[in-house]
Amino acid sequence: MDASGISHIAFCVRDLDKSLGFYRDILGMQVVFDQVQDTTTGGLPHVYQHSRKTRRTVHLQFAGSSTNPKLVVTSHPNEDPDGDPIKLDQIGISHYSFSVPDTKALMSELAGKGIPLAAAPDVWTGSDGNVSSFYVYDPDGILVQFDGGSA
Amino acid sequence: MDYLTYKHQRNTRRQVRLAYGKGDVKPTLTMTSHPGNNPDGKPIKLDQIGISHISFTVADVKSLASELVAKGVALAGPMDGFVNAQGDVSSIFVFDPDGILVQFDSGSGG
Repeated sequence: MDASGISHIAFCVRDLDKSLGFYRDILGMQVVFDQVQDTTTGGLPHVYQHSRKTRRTVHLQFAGSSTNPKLVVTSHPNEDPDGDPIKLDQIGISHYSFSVPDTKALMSELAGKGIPLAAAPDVWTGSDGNVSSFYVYDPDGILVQFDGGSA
Repeated sequence: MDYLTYKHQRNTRRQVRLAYGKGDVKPTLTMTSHPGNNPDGKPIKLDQIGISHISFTVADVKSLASELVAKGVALAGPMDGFVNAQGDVSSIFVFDPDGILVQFDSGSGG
């Protein structure tokens, strides 16, 4: 199969505005699409667990990274959410990872802004004092990793 | 908090990293398994909280669908179930061997 790459990574959230508070306002991603969509065509009923009337879909991207995959975030306004995020050793897609220039500084910055780290800072800090990668929880408890580019 | 980023205590993991093309291509797909340990959990659908799928952009969604079906890959629904409001098939979903949803799109997003 020939593919030109990964176009997007998709996740579902309870409250899209809360998620934007993290991905847009704290991580600095840009909203490139924000629409309420019909969920009855395009095969969606086959890939949904429940019957849903509409979904709000937001596409997020880092500025200047138009060749990278988008994050596609969806929610189902006024409908009951279902499910819980998974950990790394459970079957499914557990997390995505962003490469950042300074993982240690970002870890302090995010902790300072009240973002829950998946473990205390010393767990992520090597004996040389460096942080090669760390994990945080997004507003829904979805694991998000940040790496120094080598992971 | 379980075992930090793990639900269960695991001693080893096998890790495989996949990418299209050569060199430092991002993103990579990183797959893991835990040999000798019991697996836990099951994949989710698009309307459940968490990361449901990744999508690959391909040149011809319909012919890829036929190719995958011929190779025994399970489509997530009947072919005509993926027709969109414009009457086209611009994306399909299949199940990987664990039932994880994988999408193929024509590049128009969604």
